[in-house]
Amino acid sequence: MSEKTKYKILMVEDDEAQSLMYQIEFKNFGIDLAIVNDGEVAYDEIVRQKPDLVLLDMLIGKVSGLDVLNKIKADAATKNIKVVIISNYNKKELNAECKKAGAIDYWVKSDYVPKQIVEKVQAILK
Amino acid sequence: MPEISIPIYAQIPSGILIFAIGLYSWLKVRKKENFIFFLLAITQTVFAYGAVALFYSCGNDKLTTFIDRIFLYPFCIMMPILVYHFSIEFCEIKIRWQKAALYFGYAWSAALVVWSQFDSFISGVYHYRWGCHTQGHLGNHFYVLLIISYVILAIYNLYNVWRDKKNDALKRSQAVYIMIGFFIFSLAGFTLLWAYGIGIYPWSYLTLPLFIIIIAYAITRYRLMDISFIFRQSTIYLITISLFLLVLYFVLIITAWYLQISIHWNLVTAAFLASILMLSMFDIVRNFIARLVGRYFFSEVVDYQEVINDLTTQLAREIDLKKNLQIIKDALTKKMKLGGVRIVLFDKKLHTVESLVKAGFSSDVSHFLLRDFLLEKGMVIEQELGFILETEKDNEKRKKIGILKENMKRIKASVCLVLMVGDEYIGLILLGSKLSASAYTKEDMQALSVFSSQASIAIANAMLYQEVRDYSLNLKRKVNEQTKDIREKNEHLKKLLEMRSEFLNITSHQLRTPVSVIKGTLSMLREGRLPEKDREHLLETAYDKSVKLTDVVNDILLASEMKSDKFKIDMERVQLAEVVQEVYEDKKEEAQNKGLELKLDLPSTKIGEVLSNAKYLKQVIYNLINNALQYTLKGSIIVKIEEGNDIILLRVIDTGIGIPKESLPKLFQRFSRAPNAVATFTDGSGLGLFIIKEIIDSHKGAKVYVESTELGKGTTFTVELPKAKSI
Repeated sequence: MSEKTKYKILMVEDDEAQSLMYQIEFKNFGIDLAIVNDGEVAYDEIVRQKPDLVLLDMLIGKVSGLDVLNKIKADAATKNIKVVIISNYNKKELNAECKKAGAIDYWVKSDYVPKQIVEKVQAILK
Repeated sequence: MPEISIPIYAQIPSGILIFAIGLYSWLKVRKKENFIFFLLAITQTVFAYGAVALFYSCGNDKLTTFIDRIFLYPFCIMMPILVYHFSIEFCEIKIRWQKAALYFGYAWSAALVVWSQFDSFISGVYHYRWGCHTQGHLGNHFYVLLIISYVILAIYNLYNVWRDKKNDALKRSQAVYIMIGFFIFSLAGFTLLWAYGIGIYPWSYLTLPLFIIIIAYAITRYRLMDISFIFRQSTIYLITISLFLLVLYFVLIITAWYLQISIHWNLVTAAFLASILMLSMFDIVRNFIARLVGRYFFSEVVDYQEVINDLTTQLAREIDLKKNLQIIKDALTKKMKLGGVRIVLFDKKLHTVESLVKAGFSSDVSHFLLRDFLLEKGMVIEQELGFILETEKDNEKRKKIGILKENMKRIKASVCLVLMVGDEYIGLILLGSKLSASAYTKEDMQALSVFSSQASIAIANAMLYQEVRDYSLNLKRKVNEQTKDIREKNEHLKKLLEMRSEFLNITSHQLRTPVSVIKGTLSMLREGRLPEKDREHLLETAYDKSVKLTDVVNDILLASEMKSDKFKIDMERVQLAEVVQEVYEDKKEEAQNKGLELKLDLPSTKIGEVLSNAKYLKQVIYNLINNALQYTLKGSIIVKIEEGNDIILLRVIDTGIGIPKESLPKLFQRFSRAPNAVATFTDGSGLGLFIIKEIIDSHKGAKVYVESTELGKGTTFTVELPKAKSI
């Protein structure tokens, strides 16, 4: 499986049910999906793991997804990491704000099944 | 003797008239402007009679020169500068060169007055058909120059006032008339042609009467020198005097003709002048004597005309009701010299709205008057009630009048004036007896009648003004209140909209999260990509999510139902312990999975029932335990029931995150979530506590509250339910 070595994807998600589901589907397509379940440690993990893409949830405990995104984009070491917001929480203003802060896209989870998410990720990383 | 001409005759009344106007203007209004006019009037008077004297001196050159030097020139020389000075005062001129010109003019005039006593000014006499005049020399030329310069300057000043549209219309009109008046009067200068041997007909003597007519018109029409009122009155006197004199002359002529005796016209003229003087003083002397007589013989001669004039003037200046009443009271007590005065005002329903007491009436004074006599317009006089009683035949009326008379006597009210405007009663004025203790005369009554109508109008105006002012203030206050109210409501609506929008975002998140898991798991299952080892776990998770979805949907539906008017709980007898037990069984496992201890603490004996509804009560307990489970990360949750005399207490005690103080006031509101709650559990709807509160509030005598809470240590929610009465 060539992609396995090719891409490094990190998902920040505090709901165990969801992270498990996505992990299984990504694995089905031969992609390794690392999970961080706490917003507070998300940034440190990103710095440590240097993923190609971050799938970032919005409501992740005490910090918000936007805080993490801003931190990533403010640091020279991480600012080139691609970030996609993937959340069931969707607010027009927040959506725009995230894109302005440097997120590639804002996906509402319930709009897609995991397979579609995998395909969208592949399209970005191609 | 030359021929006597009409212009010279005209000097005789003109002289006295201009003097009277000048004197009045100065005596009545002590302004500088009026004083200068008075001085000018003196010079004109002397000029007028000097001209007549000059006429009669013709033939006696020495006398002519003497009269001209002593009576004519010194006064005539002062005229131009006085005219100019008047223009400066009237036009309020502050320009420096004009002031300088004024001083220079006075110096010039004074020099000429001195010079006029020497032959280089005038000497020798010219004789004409119409009279005679001294011959003018070098000094006289300077006098002509003085006239021309200063009359031009005066007219220039007045013209400027008229031209300047910034001045008020009255002032401008006055300026026009003074300008015309001075111009015409300056034509009197043509008299000086006689000083140079030119014997024109003495038309120039007519300039003085013309000047008087113009000034008199300006005084009456345009209030020149503020003496129009006095002037108008004087005019009336003078016309009256003239009429009397005409009759006198007519009688005199008829008598002389009948008796065939000759009339000595000089004597008649002297009598004429004396009578003008006496009659013009008539009013002043009469008032003086009236006051003198009043002071020494009767203590109360009141000039009603003056009182009413004063009252009208004062009332016209004042719009404040209380001050108006004070003015009326003062006029009655101080000027009309009456004892007790009481003014009572009514509103439309004849309730007393204002009352001003001067002296000694008992407080219930207006009532019997109102009851019995308001319908009789005008005034009620205690003295007259006696006469009415004698003539009145109707027994009913007699009785009423009798009572009224007695009442008035009792309170020592002599007169009651009814204040009316149109057909509306606005009040009463009660008067006690006069200070002099004498009876009210017919004159008193007439004056009081005029007085009461003046007072009525003023009071009505003041009341109306007060009403309008109060109304406007009230309106302003109401508008302010409404605006504030609208603003607050608007703010509230804005907040509600924000909350609603936040609610939709949170709710959609909560609905989407389980949906995305269920949908995702099912799609993977269908397409055969769910690995054997994860299958059971994932399916279990998906099922849990479907349960949560049901909860969220139920919460939303229940909250919506509660906000509608139809929400009502059907009450039944419920055994609380049983319901708690039920929920406990439901939630026990979930607590265990979370590593939390869920304990039930029930009384050992059977407790009483509560009046509630099992379904809703279950919802309350379910939400309370659910909250405790969600916001407790470690430790225990105790559900405790205690029985009191009349109530049963349900406590849910957790060791959770606690509630911040600032979040407590809004805790039970819809969509209200404490910040630490949002961070701990993102899926909360903000509806759980709202639902609890709504349900408990639907119970009579029940309540729910946070008994205690501490951040990081835990919270105790307490529900108090009244016991169902045993049947």
